[in-house]
Amino acid sequence: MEDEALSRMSLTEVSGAIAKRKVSSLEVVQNSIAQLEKHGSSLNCLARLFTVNVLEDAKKADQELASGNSRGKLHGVPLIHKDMFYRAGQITACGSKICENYFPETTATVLLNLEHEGALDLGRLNMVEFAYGLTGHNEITGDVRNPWNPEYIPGGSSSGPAAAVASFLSYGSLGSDTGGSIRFPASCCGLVGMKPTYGRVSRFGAMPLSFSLDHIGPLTRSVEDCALLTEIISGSDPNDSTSVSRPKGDYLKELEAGIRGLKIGVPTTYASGDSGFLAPVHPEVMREMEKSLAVFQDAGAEIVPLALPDSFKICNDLANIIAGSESSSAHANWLKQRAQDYGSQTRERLLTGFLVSAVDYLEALKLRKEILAEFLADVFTLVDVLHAPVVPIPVPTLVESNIQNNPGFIEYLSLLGHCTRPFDYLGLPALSLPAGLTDNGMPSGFQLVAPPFEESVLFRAGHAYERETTWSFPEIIFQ
Amino acid sequence: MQHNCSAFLERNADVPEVQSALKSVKSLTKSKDIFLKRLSFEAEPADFAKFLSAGKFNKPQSKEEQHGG
Repeated sequence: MEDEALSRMSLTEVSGAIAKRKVSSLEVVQNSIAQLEKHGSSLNCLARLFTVNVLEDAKKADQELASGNSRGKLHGVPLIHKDMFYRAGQITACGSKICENYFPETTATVLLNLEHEGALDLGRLNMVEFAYGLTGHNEITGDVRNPWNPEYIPGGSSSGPAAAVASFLSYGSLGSDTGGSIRFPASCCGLVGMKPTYGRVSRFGAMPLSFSLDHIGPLTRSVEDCALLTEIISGSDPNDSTSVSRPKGDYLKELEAGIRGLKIGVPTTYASGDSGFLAPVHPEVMREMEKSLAVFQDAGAEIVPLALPDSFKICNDLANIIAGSESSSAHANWLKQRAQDYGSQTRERLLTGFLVSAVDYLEALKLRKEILAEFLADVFTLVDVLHAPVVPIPVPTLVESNIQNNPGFIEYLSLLGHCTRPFDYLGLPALSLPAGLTDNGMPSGFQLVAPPFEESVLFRAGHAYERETTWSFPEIIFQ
Repeated sequence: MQHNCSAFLERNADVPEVQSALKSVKSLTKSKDIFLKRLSFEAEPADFAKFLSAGKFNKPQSKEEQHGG
């Protein structure tokens, strides 16, 4: 059974249709399975389906609804996620050979939060090996392809979620962001992606890469869907000591409040006068940034050019020091015993951490508070949100960005996280939104960044932007 | 563990993967050292989480707001 109209519904629409019993959960699940089985392989985005379990769960969800019982906002809606979220008794391979037979004993808190609202767990999607890379290449499970053009990268490390959501194979999906791994693929595939404040969402039961930088958040086709999923997965968790005990935001309620008078900062220079932050950004990407700012201006926002503190320049390097040390620590035993089972690029990145001294690592961690305090004082005393590109260059092809075939691309590789990684280091919430297309016909994206725990203003601004723009997804899947 | 791995890497310094990793780490730590003077002697990594969760990030009130409009 395949139903294109059903697949093209938003998350909010399909959950509403199930709740009103216009369509059954079983029909939606069967349609999702059929679509993923038929098209998942062409994009190489599907890792595995939990077919037997999810069909049973869908029947149960329909029975509950028939009896007048709804579990919550996502009752009976199937969702499929990045292959790094543990479910007890189901394989979580993390895009690797090393974990291809790993059966976790626990279930991720974010999955339990979704379940609490009635969502069904449909399966897992491919990703970059151990989430360590931004392009989407994977030497172990194969490269995921971009639905806009399968010759191009989908972005990573949440490559499968981005490809599946952009091609209507899932209504939304959870990913992780350590250096940009939600926002980067969201931008490459024309999606909305939220990296919440550090501590806003529990990481318990999610594969760790770098515990000081790891964030979990959703990729969706609309801001409303992104707000809904973020609202559901956020909150404190006794199993994650870094999760913060603060009231959950009511993001959906504040969505329509508009942005008249909202101050949007544009980082034109550093305090020293150096124009470095935007200097590496490609002119075609900058052109689309300007267009997106014009949309905000027309909607009543005030655009404020500002200088970033000079300390912001080193956030990317500091984040790499931390990510290198923490990821190498997490992988130390496997690197010793099974080094040959890693893809060569992942292995090289993991080796870097062993060369970072404990002193360098601790200094990089200690500087976080100082740099964040300076950033908040210099930026968020002047504006409500900051606007910045996500991917600094037009989306490259899979071939040209594979450094094994094209060693010259390594120069760009270090640049790819230039706009995203600093906000992982600072722990600030950032929402990635689609801008226009660059000359190669591929999407570009911008991010809005807010002070800690101010996700609400990001969704409000993103929703206002979305209302003023038209965005069409590619037809590749259904042609 | 770290010591063992570092020794392993030193022994294999002619392997391209190791050479590349060494180059990366030198570049990363160099930029950090320029900003180290900002740190107080007592600074702790955990201060970041405390600062972040304190949630006192509101913009300074305008004069009108301070004087009740």
